[in-house]
Amino acid sequence: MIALDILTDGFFAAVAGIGFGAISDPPLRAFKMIAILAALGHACRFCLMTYLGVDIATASLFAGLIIGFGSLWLGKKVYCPMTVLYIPALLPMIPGKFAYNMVFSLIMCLQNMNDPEQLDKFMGMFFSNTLIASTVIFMLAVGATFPMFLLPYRAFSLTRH
Amino acid sequence: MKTSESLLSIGKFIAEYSAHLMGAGVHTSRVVRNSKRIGEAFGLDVKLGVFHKNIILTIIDKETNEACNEVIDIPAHPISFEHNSELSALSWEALDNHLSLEELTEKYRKIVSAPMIHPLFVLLLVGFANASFCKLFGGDLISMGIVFSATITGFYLKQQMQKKKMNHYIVFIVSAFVASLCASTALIFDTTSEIAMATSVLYLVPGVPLINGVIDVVEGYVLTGFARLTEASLLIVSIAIGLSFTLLMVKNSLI
Amino acid sequence: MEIFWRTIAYYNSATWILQIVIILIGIALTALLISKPRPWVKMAMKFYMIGLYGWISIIYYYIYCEERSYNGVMAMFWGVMAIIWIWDAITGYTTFERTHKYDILSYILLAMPFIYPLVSLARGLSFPEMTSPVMPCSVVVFTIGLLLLFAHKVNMFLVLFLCHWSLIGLSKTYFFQIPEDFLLASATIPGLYLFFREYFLNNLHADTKPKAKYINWLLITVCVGLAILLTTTMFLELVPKN
Repeated sequence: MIALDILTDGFFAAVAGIGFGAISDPPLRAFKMIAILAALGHACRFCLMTYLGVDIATASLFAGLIIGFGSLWLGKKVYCPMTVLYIPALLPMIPGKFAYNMVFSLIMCLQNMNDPEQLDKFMGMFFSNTLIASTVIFMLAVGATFPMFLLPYRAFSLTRH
Repeated sequence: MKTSESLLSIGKFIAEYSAHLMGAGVHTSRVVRNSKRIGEAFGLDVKLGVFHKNIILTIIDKETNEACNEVIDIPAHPISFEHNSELSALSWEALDNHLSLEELTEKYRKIVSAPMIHPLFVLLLVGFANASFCKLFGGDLISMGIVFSATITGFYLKQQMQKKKMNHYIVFIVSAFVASLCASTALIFDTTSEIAMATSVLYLVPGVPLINGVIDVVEGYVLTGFARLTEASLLIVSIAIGLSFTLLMVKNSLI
Repeated sequence: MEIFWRTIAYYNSATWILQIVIILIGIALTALLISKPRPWVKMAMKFYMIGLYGWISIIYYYIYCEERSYNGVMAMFWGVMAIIWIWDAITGYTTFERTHKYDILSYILLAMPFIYPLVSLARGLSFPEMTSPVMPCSVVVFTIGLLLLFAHKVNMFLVLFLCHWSLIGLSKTYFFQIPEDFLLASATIPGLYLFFREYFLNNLHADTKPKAKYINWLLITVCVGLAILLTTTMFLELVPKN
């Protein structure tokens, strides 16, 4: 049952990665790698959060690291720079729920100007959601970029035939 | 030895090359590295100052100490990873195979004029992507279907408006509004409609400038990095405005 | 569920005269457009569409369906479609140029708004608690039929809106048990496929990325997927509930 959960999670993340990647016009040979990376990264974050109880920011950092190292390894096979592979793979992990709550609570804040109790509640909701959403995005980007600093020579010569 | 004319034409080529890379959504350090690499292939020293809208570069012949300056505007180009990887590979090819300027220009033109990914293909894939995104957030089958169709409607509108070269912010506001309006029809059913509304606008998230911005800042190109982040956050604000039009209509049922 | 039929009864009994007028104008304009497609007829058709969509938005959803929850969203949805027609009338985007490729399907679709109430009658419903030809779903079928007759250049954005509507119709049959809506949903899927093909794949050049056949395959997959979804829902509907 657990394995099935992880697999479905990975599958949907792969579809999402391919779709969001397609917006940015990647080379056709990169699609397969994007799918693999997106599935790996998201499934990893899913496991960390569901079974080990890690918080979303730390889990995202680890998922980002996995995607980053994966793109360093797979990038050499299809001659693509790291960013081409890891940006689409990171997109399914963007914390959309928090971003939505951010907008929603901001609107509710403005609607309840005259009710201090409600105002406080939505203000708190707005700040916590904003904080989480931006931290997660930052962690994802940093995690995925880290391998580039660790192995600069390899990272910079991925497209060399 | 090179004549001054060829120095000038190489300078023009490198300027166009680097501006195209910046326009196609490549992070700054790669643009700088690739341009320097091409310069090196010709025995030239290339120094660039990259801004968000222009690139200033100086090309110095290492033997004669002749210099040539170029300033070029960065063209508005849709983000293209294909150009990113092909043009990066081209810079290595120039260095490894010692291509002449004519060969290099010809290859560059061929890469740049290759067809972009087909809009219908992207449209359908994005629909699937957003539907599976909805699933990842815990939506059920019906909300997935509604998100799929809402996304296709919104993304089609975005493609058409971008084709007409309308202002980015207007495009984002209108498409976010339309997509979330379509998704809000999920409210009449007993389904995970809030998740449907939340995910319906996520296809608009400017992921590439967002992540490129963080990379640039981390790598020390703070100026371009913040420019990218500012641009991305303005786009996110536009999405929020579009979404909030819908939310204002249905907010009573969401509390 | 009860509210749903009550609002429909209220709407029908209050506006049946106006509905007949709208239907007659619609028939006259469609006949004129098919036999003598002059510029003023085309323009009149667009204005008729603006009026019809505005009617659904304001009269049907905003006034008569007030009792239902979220009628504002629906009114807005149809309002946006009316705005699309206004934009169309201003820019003259839809040219109403006759294509003869899909005649049979489009005549079936044009007849659908009248079959719609007949199905209601056959199910044992009686006036005014029954579907009528001036209702959102029949308007959608009518529009798709009309656009298929003149598929040379259609407003794809409107078509996508209509498809979204029919998808909702599909879910509605599942939740509210209105089998009439199957007619709508099953009609739009071939329509959707034909429109997409007409619009995107007719002027394909030799080199696209990816190859044209893959794009076509993806499109067919989507339509087959929708069809499977449709049949499963229909099957679930037909199987007697325990």
